[in-house]
Amino acid sequence: MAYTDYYKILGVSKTASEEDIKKAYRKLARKLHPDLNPKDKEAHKKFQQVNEANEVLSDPEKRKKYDQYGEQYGENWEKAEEFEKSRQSGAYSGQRRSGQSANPFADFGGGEDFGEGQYSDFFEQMFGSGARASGSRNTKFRGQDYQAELHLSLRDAAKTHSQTLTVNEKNVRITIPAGVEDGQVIRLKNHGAPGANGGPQGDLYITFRIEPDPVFKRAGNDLYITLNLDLYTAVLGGDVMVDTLDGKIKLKVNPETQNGMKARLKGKGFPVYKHEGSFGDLFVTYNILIPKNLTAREKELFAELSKMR
Amino acid sequence: MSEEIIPVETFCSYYHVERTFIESLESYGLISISYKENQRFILKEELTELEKFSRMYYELDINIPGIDALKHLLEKIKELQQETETLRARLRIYE
Repeated sequence: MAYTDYYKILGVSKTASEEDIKKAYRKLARKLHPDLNPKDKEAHKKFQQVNEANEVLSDPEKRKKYDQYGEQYGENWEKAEEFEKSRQSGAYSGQRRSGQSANPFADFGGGEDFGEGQYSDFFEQMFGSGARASGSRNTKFRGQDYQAELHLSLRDAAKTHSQTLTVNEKNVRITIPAGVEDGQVIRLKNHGAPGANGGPQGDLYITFRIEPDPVFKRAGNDLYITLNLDLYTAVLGGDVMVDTLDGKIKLKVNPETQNGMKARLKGKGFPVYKHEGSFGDLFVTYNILIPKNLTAREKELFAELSKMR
Repeated sequence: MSEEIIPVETFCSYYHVERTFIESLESYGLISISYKENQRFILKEELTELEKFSRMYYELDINIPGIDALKHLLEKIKELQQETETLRARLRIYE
C-alpha cells in the first residue's frame, strides 16, 4: 500500500501542466536513460521510476485517478475506482429500496436498468478504455531489456561450457566461450520483455561476474600465482612443481633467485576470449621462506657463511 | 547475404521513423547505408545502434548533432569502464 509520489519523482508540482510534465520527463530521461548510462544499475532503476511516473502523469485519465486515489490507496490506486464503485453500488441499492432512485422506472423491473448501468461502466473500466488506448496508439514499442548476472568461478570461465539461466521463468541455455572477463556483458537478442503494439522484443543482457580464485589472480589474459620457495632452492637453484589451470608442471628455478622475482610461463595463462588455442601467460612470483627453528649446527654454518661475504 | 541487410523503407515503416532521420544519421557518419540496385539498405550489425539513435531522437528529443556528441562520449565511457575493470583486476593481484 506504499504511496509513490510521482510528482516528486518528476520534480514537478501537483498543479504542473502537461507541458511541464513532458519537459520534466524528457530532462530526467536524458539524464537516466539506460542508453546513456551503460552498466549503471542505479540509473536504470531511477529511469524505471521516472518512466512509471510519466506514464501516469502524462495520461490525463490516469493522472486524475492517481490524484484522487493515490495517497489513500497507495500502489493500488488504479483499482480504487472499481472498489469505490462497488462500495457505492451497495449503498445505491439501499437507497433505491427507499425510493430515491433517479430512474422513475427503476422500482418496476428497473433491476435490469441498474445492472446494465453498473456493468457497462465496469467493463468500460476494465476493458473498454484500455482497448481504446491500445487501439489509438499504433507506435510500436520495443520491449524492455532484461539484465541478469551470471557468477562463474575462475576455473569455469577458463573453459567453454553451457549453462541454463532462468530469466522471468523462462530457461535460456547459453554457451559461454572460454576467457570471459569479469564485468563483461553479452547480449541475447529478443530474450527481453515482449514489445507493445507488435514492437520487437527487448534483449537480455548478461553480465559475467568472475569469482576470485584462491590460487590464481587474473589480469586480462595473464594469470599470477605466488610460489613459496625454500631458501636453499632459491640460492642453489632446482626444480619445483607449480600449479597451472591444466595441473602441475615442473619449473626450473635459477640459482640466486631473489625474493619477489617473477618467472614467466608463456602460454600457461588464461584462454583468450574467442581465440581458440591462444592463451595468456602465467607469472610466478617467488616468495622465499627463511628457515625457522635453526639447530645450533645450522646457526654455526650460517655464521660461517656470513663471514665469507 | 540478403539476411544481413534491411531495406531502409522496411526499417522506417516498422519503427515509424522518417527516412530523413536515417539520411541525417548517414550524413553525420553515425550509420552507413549500403546501396544496391538503386535501393538503400541498413546493415544488420548497425541495427542495435540505429535502434538506440531512434530512441534518443524520438523518445529523448535529442537532435542529430547531440546524438553525434553522445556517441563519442559513450564510446569514451565504455573505454574507461574497460580500463577500470582491468585496473581492478590488476589491483586484486596485490590484495
